[in-house]
Amino acid sequence: MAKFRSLLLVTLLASLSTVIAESWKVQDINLIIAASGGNKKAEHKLEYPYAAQDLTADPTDVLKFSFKIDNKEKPHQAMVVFQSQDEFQDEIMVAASVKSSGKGRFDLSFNKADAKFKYGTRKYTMTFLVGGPKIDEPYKYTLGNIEIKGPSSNPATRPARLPYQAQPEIHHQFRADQKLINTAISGLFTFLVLTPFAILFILWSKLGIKFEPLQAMATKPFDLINAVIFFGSIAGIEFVFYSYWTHVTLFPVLQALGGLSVVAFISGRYVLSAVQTRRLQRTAGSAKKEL
Amino acid sequence: MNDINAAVNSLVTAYIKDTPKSLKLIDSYMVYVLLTGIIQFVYVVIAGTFPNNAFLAGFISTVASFVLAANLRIQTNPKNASQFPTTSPERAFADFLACNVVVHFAVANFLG
Repeated sequence: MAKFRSLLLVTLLASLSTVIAESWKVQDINLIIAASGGNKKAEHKLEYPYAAQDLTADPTDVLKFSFKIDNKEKPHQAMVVFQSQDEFQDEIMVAASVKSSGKGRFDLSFNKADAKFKYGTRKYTMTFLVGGPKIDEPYKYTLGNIEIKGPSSNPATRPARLPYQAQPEIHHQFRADQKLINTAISGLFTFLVLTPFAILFILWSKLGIKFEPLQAMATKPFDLINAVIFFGSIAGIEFVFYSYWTHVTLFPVLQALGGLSVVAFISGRYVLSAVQTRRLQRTAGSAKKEL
Repeated sequence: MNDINAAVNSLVTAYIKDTPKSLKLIDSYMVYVLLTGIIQFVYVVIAGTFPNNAFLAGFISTVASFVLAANLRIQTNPKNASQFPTTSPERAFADFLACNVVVHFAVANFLG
């Protein structure tokens, strides 16, 4: 049994190596350049590695190419590659159809063929390629050179090669500042906005308010101190807001506000309750008078 | 026209005679705030709202001050005392101050 297995392996390997060793057998390679009417201008029977030199073709000509493949496997691809011998090295692939008999051919009329044939008169290298999955090494045969003349009237212009290079740098542009209004107008309105202050003080002065509590407080220094602390803390809070506007960040501001508001709350309680007692005394007094 | 004049005159004299001084104080403050707000608005109509935050801060502060002053006036008016049995004028003033502090904080935020 073991012997049989090794035998099988050997035969398998052998068959594999024959497959690898197989190469393309191409025969009867025939290249005809014919005028559009059908007259043969040139006929070349080609055999590897002979390369035909200095073939020429007019734009109206037809290139007839035929060959025969002797392998059992038929190729997947059989084609002739025309590569232009100028700076562009354009490649034009012309595929041949291969029949089951192994005969393959194509007719290439330059009029109807790829537009790349029409960029003026150019010389091309022709390479014949045959390839398929079962045979590892493809068949490659450089057939020779051919000069194909451009169309006699208005040859097509070749599109420029795409420039794969650095594009100009994009600079980020910030949006332009919005225009501020004329400083004269804004200055005038700053003044106008401040005028109601004057009106306020004129109205208040006309009311004839007597600042009685000052006299009352003078007798009670504790109330006076409280009042000063209270107004001081309120002014401090406003000052903290001002510095928050101009330069201080939020968290120091919150700390300062916390401290000042506690002071303002406690002192405010004392001050306002003192005011209330005075008011109640006063109303009680006036009530007595009325009675 | 004369009727209107007479009506306005009687209104003004009644106001001057019957309104307590503390309420007049608040009223003049409200007039001041109202005028400031109107001037700011006129400026915005002329110049546009470009520093939008500044306009918002100014206008919000006038509107809020006006509303707070109006509330203070309502709560300290002796004729309304029956509606606010637990709110003494001093308590109302303390509320007024506290609310103003909050408003000023918001305004300082908006000033940018």
